[in-house]
Amino acid sequence: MFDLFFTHINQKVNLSEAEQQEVKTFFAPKKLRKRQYLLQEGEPCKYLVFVEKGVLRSYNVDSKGVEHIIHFAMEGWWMGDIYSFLSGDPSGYNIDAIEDAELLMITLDGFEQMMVKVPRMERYFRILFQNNIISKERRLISSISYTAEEKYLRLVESSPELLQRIPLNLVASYLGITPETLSRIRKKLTQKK
Amino acid sequence: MALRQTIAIIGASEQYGAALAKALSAGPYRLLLMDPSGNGLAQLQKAIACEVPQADVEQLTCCREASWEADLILFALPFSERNHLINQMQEVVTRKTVVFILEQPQENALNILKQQLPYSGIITIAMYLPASAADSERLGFSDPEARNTATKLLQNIRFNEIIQSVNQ
Repeated sequence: MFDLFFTHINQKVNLSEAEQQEVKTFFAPKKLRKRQYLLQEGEPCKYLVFVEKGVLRSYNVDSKGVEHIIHFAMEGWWMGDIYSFLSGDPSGYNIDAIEDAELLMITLDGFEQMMVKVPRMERYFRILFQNNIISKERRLISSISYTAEEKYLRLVESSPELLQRIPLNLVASYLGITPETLSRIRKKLTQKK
Repeated sequence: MALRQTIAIIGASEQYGAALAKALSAGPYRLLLMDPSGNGLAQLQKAIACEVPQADVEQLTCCREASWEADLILFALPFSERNHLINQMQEVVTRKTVVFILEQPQENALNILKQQLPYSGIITIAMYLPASAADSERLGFSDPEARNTATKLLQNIRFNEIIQSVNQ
């Protein structure tokens, strides 16, 4: 249940067996079925979650009812609306499962207590948040400067597994393009090969 | 649409388990019905579907699976039958609330359960007290968060009616 979780953490910081046992006590294991919600817009994001199995997506819905995917999270990734999680304010996102999922969830109280009890986790989250800032900046640059084809090619390069598992209409939403445009890009790239 | 909390009822075939399942089925919950005997669950699910057609109810055969999927676990089996099921669910109920229905007085029940599930929020509900008993007499809590959870849950359940329906 915690195998991938500790493999992931131990790639960044080395936790002793005692520290791992301590960390476990702060997380609620939770199964989520496909299409079930973890968070709905307007509710505060109570948990930061680690995905042990399955795929989650976060998205918002515009005034025309169109969904815009913000993030995907599959095995070994974290998911949550960090602003809402830290502030307690209502979230502007929805989070649901694209596949049946197994999650490890921590509340803000648990998060703070864990940092005090296992200071190495503070270093782990510092590294995680640093990487998150870089990835968000890259995504921002990609969305304002790259062509649709370049955005798609970057996703193919950075997350090939995601493309195998996620329906193309959701990939299009993540890239900020229509499914028809994505289909044309894929066709063009296939013909080039 | 508000987020639905998932509640596993372990011992859903028991009198109080079934009565609580019916009472909760009209609320904003997804219910997972589990009973080690496996008896009567289909009948209960059918009865709930007749009374509350929009109810979100499912049967599960494994205590660990039901507890893993749930946000809150309602344990409605006799206190003496808890040990092996607690062993099964222990790992998946960390940081979740587990509600124990007490049909008979049990000395030191809350402390025993706190020792068995040290990382879970524990609530005990003394069903053996008369319907007129105050909530403060009927309920036991391991911590303030469990108290908050119980308070929210109680807003959706009328205990007096449940106790009266079981005793009829």
